[in-house]
Amino acid sequence: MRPLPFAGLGLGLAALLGACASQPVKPTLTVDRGACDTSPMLAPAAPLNFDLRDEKTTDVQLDKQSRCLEVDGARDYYAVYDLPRADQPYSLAVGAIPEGTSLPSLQVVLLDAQGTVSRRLTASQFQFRGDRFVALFKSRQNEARMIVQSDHALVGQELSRIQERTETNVISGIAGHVAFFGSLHTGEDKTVSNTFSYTGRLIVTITPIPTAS
Amino acid sequence: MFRVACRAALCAVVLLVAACATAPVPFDHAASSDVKRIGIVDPGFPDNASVVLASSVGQSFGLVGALVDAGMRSSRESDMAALVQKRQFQAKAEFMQALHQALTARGYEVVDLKAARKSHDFVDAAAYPHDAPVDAYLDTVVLNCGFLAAGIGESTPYRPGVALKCQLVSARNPKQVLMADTILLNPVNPPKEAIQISALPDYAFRDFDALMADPPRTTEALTKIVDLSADTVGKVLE
Repeated sequence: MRPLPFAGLGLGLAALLGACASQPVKPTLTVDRGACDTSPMLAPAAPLNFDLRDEKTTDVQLDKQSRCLEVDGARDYYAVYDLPRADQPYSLAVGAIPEGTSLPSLQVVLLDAQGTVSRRLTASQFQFRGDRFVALFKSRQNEARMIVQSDHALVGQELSRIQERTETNVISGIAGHVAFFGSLHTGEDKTVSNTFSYTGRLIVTITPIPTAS
Repeated sequence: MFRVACRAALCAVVLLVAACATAPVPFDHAASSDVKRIGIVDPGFPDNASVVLASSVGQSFGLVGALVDAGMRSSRESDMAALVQKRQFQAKAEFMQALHQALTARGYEVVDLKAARKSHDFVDAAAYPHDAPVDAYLDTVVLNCGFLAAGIGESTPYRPGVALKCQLVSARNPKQVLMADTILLNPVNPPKEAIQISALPDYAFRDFDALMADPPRTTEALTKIVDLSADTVGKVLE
């Protein structure tokens, strides 16, 4: 009878943990807001983490509280960043990691100090690198700001890919008078589908590029 | 036995190289608008198609298991080499042709160049043919090209895959890397630095016997994946 109180405690903890487990993230397929900006508000712009010697990452949540932009009847959420000024070139990886079935649809607009659009990166420039869906590009001296916004043209579309993974699990135990210890290697091949969403967690990674000696 | 062990070690090294991608250098076409004529340096390419089982029972049994696995892989790759030879499929020639197509379609002039290369690595900056009339050298090293299954069983079929690294080097200053990247088609546990291209869903082979049973489709799968890898190199130079 002694173990019973512990079993009860265990069940209680499990129930509590189950209740706290997060709900699977679903894609946001509409921009639920009143009035949106008709042109992007460039100030205030968020700073990006930057170090001349090392890779630095900045996370931002693009969600229903983000600014929204309406152009020709199409709406998008957006975020504005100040680009670091540096003599040394650096690479920017702008993207997101799929969460649940959702994957933020993104486009990137780069502007000079006067707010003139220098270049625009859209769907065809985004690729998976590891588990991140990113656009990777090199900094330019004349560019001062970056707008990362959802891409309404993609929202609702599905992206499927095949993922191959391997896993190693350590196994140990006692069978009769013999103790055993080892590893078990398994593989997985699965098709993962994500739906492009207006919202999600953005990740911007800046990596210095070594210059030619 | 020693040769099998060496082969196992070499395979492990090749897989490790594929896994440890270096930080990419993105190409800025506008900033490198003077690059119009690209010299394609004779690419590094494996002698034979690989047939990799990424997880197996043998891996659970230490060195003995590894030796057994290496022996089985060697046998599979010998069979695959015979199949490829019989079909007269030349992966490197296909890759070069596709690379020419990928670059010319994107507006570049291309020239084939020769340079001394250490195995599985880029050409040393000093060894590029400096007298060649080109604006940049495209240096490509294909680390793996063949088939890969994540594990044993029908749920993890063999699919075609390629691992390569590439760089574009300025001809004016061969120490200046204009672009560098790693491209993995159908990778297992890919690193975050490398471009990851999903497997082609139409080409899945239940097991190794299924690969060997349909030579036209097996070589078709290799052709598709080699062409796609070359086109992805073109895409990073857009």
